[in-house]
Amino acid sequence: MRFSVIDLETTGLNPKKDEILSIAVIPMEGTRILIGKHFFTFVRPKKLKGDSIKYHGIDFKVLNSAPTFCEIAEKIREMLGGTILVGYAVQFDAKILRNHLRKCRIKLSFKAIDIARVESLLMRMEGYGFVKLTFDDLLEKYELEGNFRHSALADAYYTAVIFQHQLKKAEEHGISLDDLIRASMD
Amino acid sequence: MLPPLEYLKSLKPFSFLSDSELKEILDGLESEIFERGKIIFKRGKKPVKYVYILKYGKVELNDGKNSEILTEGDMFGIASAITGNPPRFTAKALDKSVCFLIRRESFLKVFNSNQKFSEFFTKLLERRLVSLLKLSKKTSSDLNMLYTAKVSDLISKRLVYCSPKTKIAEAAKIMHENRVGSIVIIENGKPVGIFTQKDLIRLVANNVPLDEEVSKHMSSPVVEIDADATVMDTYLAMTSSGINHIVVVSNGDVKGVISTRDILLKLGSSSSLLSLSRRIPTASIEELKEILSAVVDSVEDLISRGFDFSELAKISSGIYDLVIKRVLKMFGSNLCWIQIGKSGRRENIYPEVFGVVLNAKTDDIRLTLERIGFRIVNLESYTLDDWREIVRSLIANPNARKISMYLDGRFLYGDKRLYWEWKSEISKLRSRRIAKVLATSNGTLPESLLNCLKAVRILGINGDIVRELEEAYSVVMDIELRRSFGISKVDEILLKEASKILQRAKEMISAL
Repeated sequence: MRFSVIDLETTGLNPKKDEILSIAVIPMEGTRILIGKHFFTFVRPKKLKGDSIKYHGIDFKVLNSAPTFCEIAEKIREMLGGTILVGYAVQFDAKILRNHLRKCRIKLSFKAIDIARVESLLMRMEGYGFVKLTFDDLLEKYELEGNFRHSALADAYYTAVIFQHQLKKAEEHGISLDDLIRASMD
Repeated sequence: MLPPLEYLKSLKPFSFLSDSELKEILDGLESEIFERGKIIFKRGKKPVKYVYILKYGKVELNDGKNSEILTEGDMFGIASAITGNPPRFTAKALDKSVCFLIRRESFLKVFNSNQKFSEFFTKLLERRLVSLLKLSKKTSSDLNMLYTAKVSDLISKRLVYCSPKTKIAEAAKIMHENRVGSIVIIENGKPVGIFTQKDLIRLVANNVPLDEEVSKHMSSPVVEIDADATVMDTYLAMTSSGINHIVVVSNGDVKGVISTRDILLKLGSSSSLLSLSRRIPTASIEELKEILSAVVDSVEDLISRGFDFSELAKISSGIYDLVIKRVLKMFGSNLCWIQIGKSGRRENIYPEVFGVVLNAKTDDIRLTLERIGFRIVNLESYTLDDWREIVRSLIANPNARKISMYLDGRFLYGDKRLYWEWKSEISKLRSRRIAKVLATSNGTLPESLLNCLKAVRILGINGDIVRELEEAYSVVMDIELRRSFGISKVDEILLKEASKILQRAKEMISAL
C-alpha cells in the first residue's frame, strides 16, 4: 500500500475560506519511508497582501515568487492519487486540499489516516483509557528529537517516522488499514 | 532541512561531502523498520541493493562462526555494496530496528567521485575483517583527553602581553581588543606577572585610578606550567594555587595563557560532575546526601567561572533526576513521578523539587528527599481521577502559574502508562482562552516570558516573535543566575530589551 504523509501550512483553520501556504509530502510504501522522493513547495495564496513583510511567519518575498496552487495541482494529483493520506489532524488537510484541487478543476478524493487517532486506538489496545496526544506528545513518546516547532518538511518526516512505528504495532495487534481509516474519520 | 539529512551530515564520512554529493545520497535515501527476528540480508545470497545505517534498535551480523552486535550509528552492507559480491554476513534484527537505507547506485556514485569519502571506507574495511563501521559522533572521551592532551594544544589565541609600565586603562583596552580575559606582563622577555579581568573589576570597584601602572596591581610572580604538561596537571596546578589563569612556557619562552574556563569548555563541562553521578545509582541515603552537597559545590564553582545557564542547568538537573530516581527505587515502582515546572524544564541549578506523584503517598518520599538535601518547593500527589478533577477546575478558573507548571510536565520514574494518561488531560488546557490567560498573567520577567512562550506555542504562532522570546528568556535566566555575583551595565540593557520583547508579544496575543 502507498501512503502520502503530508503537512500543510495554511492561512487559518477554515477549510472553505483559508488558503494553503506550503505543502510538504513524503511518500511511503508500506512501512518504507521514501525520503529521497519528498516534495516541498511554498504556495502563493490568492489573497496575498503586500503590506506585511512576514506572512504567517513566512517571508513575503518567498510567497510572492512561489507558484500558485493550480500551477502545482497536477503534480499534487500525481503524488497523492491512489495513495492514502497520512498526517496529524489530517481530516482538515484532506478537506482544504480537496477544495483547492476542485478550484483547479481536479477531482480527487482521499482516504486518510490521522496519526493522533491511530495512537489513541493503539493505546486503547494496550490497556489505556481514552488518551489523546498532541503532536509534541507524539514526538516525545517516540523519542524524536524536536521539542519546538519545526519546518513543514521536518514535521512531515517526523509524522512518517511515527506512522512507520504505528503500522508495525497495528500489524502486531491485528488491526487492518480499514480500521485505521475508520478510526480517523470525523 | 530534513532531519535525516542533518543526521547524516553529523556522521563522519558524510561530513566530507559537498552539498551536491549529499543531495545524491539523499535522493537515494529510504527508511525501513524491521521487526524483531527479521533477516535484513543473507550471507552468500544476492548482493545488497542498499547500504544500511542503523538508526534505532539492535542488529546482529553473523558470518556463520562469529557474530557482532550493532547499535545506533553503525553502518553495514558496505563491502557487498562496493564490490557487488554476495554479503559475507547475515544481518538480522535482534529488536525492533529502524535503518536508513542508501540506494547502492547513489552510494557508489559518491564513493567513486569523492576520494576522502571512499578512503574512509576502504581504510576501515582493510583494517577490520568485519564489514561494519562505527560511525559514532563522539570524539575520544573528554576525561581521556584530560590525561593525554598537552596543555599547549589548548592554546587557541596568540599571546596578549604588555610591559610593566603600561597603564591599567591601556591594558584593559588591549584585552578588550584581543577579546581575552587576561594579559601577561613581560619584562626582558620573561613573564613577571599576570593581570586579569577579575583584577580589573576589583580595581574599578575600589576606585583605583586607571592611569596607574599595571605592574602595581598584577599578580606576581606568575604561576607557570610547561607546554608539555598534560591538561590534568595544568588543572591541578591552577586549583591547588587557587588561580584561574596560568602561563604556558616552553624553554623559558611564553607560549600563551590558559584559563580554567578553557579547560572546562574542552571538557564539555561535566568533568567534576561526571565522577559524582557515576556513584548515584548504588548510593545509600547517607552517600546521596554527601554526593548532593558535592554537586552543589561543583555547580557553584562552574557558575563563578561564567558557565552558560542553560548548559549548566541541564547537567545539574540531570544529576538531580538521577538522585530522585535512586530514592524512588526504594519506594517501589507502582507509582509514577512527573517532573513539572522548573524541574520539568530541566532548570534546577540547585536541588529543588517540583513534582507530581501519582498513586502513592508522598510523606516518606518527601522526608527522605529533604534529608538528602532537596528543597521541596512543590510536591503534589493524587490519583488520576483527582487529576481529571483538577484539570476541570483549572479550565473553569484558570490559574496561570499552575497551568504553566503542568505544561512543562515530563516523565521521570515509574509507571509510564500513568504518565501518558496524565499528559493526555493536559491537552485540554491548550485552548485559546488559556493561552490568553497565560500571556496576560503577571509575574517576574522570566515567568512572564515563559508564559508568553507557552501561549504562542498553544496558539501555533510561528516566526520571529517565538525566536525572540526564546532568546530573551535564556538571556534573562542567565542574568538572574549571575545576580548574586553582581549585575553589569550590559545586563541591565539586555533586561530592558527582554522586557520590550515581552511587551510586543503580549500586545500581539491580546490582539488575536
